[in-house]
Amino acid sequence: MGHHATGLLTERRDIPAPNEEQAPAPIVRIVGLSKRYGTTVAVDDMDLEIAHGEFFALLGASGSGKTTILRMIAGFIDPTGGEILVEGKNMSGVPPYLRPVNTMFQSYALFPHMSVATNIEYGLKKLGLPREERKARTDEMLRLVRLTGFEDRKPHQLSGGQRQRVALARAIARRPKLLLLDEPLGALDRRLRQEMQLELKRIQRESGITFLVVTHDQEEALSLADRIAIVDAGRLCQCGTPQQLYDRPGNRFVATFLGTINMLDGIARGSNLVELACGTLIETTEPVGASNGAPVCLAIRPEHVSLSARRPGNLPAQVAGGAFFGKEFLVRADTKAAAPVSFYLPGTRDLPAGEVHLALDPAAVRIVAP
Amino acid sequence: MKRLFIGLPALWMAVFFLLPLAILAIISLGDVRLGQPPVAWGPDWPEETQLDLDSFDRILTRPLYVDAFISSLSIAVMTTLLALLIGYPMALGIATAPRRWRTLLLLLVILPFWTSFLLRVYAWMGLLGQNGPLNQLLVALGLIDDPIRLLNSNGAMLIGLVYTYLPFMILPLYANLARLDHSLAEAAQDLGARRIGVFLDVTLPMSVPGILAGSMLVFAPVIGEYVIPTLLGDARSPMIGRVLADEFFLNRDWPVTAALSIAILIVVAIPLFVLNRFLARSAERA
Repeated sequence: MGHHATGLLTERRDIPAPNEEQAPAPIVRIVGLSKRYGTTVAVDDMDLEIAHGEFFALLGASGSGKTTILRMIAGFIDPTGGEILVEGKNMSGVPPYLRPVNTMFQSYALFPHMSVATNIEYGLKKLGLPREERKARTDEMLRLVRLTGFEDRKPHQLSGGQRQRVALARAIARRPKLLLLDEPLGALDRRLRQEMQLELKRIQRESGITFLVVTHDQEEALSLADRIAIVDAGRLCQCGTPQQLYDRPGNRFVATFLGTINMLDGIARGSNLVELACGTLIETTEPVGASNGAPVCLAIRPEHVSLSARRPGNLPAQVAGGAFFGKEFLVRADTKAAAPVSFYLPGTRDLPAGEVHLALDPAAVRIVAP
Repeated sequence: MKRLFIGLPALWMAVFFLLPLAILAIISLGDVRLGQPPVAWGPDWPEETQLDLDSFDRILTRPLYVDAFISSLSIAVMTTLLALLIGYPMALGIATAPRRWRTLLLLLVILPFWTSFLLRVYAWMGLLGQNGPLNQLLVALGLIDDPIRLLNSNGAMLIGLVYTYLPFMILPLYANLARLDHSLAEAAQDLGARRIGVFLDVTLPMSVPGILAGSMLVFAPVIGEYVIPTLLGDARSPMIGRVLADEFFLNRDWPVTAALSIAILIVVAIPLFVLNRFLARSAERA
């Protein structure tokens, strides 16, 4: 899984990360947003800013509160505290039908008694647009989602992927300031997902609308979003570009949530050394940042672990097995350092047997809060 | 095993529905005579059998029958519309009520079925009677000086019919409305529809199957209703059920009674058939 995520990361390098210095005023600002149900806290004092034209993802497990945030922005749920500002305007008390926000529902929620064109046109009718303009915009939307020729079909006559395109066209036809997408790829099979990922990126670029995706699928978030906010138990864990989150996870939860990572508990020994439970001293380029003798947690991605010789600073391990991915193996090796370590080996040669010695790239070793 | 499951109901239908219907059809083609049975097929029956459509001719041309049919149809249509007007908001209210309340509310709708139907109609006779509570209330409020005749009128009959058949409207409507995908209403709101718009654009069109099913469950039995028109209605403008009963019990005119039964069946069956086709098509779409 983690390996796959890395692959997607390399593919999306051509998309420039938003430049923070010249970022325009945020289109959405969330300040101290909270939602309590009795004693249960669904969303806890959340702060978030989404920039104009950004493709933003809220990533979290089910029950993390991410859908509650989405529904509060859409106006279906009232917050118990805090504010949501869209283009500087406070949304509290504004009903859903007056918000400059549209939603693509997880179930698509297409009106089954209306044709594709009537579905797309519905929101335009409610805007009170004249017939010719509605027709022109509906046609434009059909072209954008590549469904020209399907206008007279009913939703039940469409495939899952086509239904999703209609739902998307219907939601952006009103040209909202912000489009909310609830698990947009969740209901599609694998092949369609990959196709729709690229489609969503294209449509977002062409329409220039800010997208906010809510998903539990890290792959979906990594491949789609310019920036990701990771949510756990109603709280914001970390927010940043996919590269930032992948490369510099802020805490243990983020580290384990995104991709595959090796987590090894140890003790700080000086400013750039960590002693693992097996006694091996691991060198780190970045300062450990903990006083000598304090327990720390060392994190390193499998791609930064390699086979090496028996040498101080290399971790002795026993190869336990490997999963073949074509290009390479993801190898699992047991160590005496309390946890097994995973790393990649070329798929062209056989797995080594018995004891091996693993070198951990000092520049890629991260220290996370234990 | 499978044959048994299909065969048993088919046998039941043949013995208790198709066979009686065939007997009814044969009787409707005969003439009245004095004797046992009080029906003959031709003047020289049983030596010589001669079928005729005299009874159908009579019920289609004599004002007594035609008027009774028209009044039955209009009463059934009015009852259906009133039940729909009262039942729709109730069904919608139950379907959108918090889940823990729904069972109780549904129970309250079904509760009247636990007492005898006749008893409930008698209760209405008491309520609407000359010295009944309603008249007493109206007098006490000073709206009228003397008790007025509420009973034995079309109004009283409508009250009784709507009261009795309301659950038959509410239950299928509720089943339909409770199944409606709530995200459709949210989508409409999200796309700019206010509450009234959500209702007119989504809820109402999506509940058409429920409306039709409920309407049919009210319309069909009300057409031939006998007890309520007799006890609460106006004897001067009888409904077809009462005419049918009078023909059978008082006139002992079996052929006309049979012809009337078949006519009622046709009046009810045609809309039922159309509805069935419609529901099958909408089920295909869902």
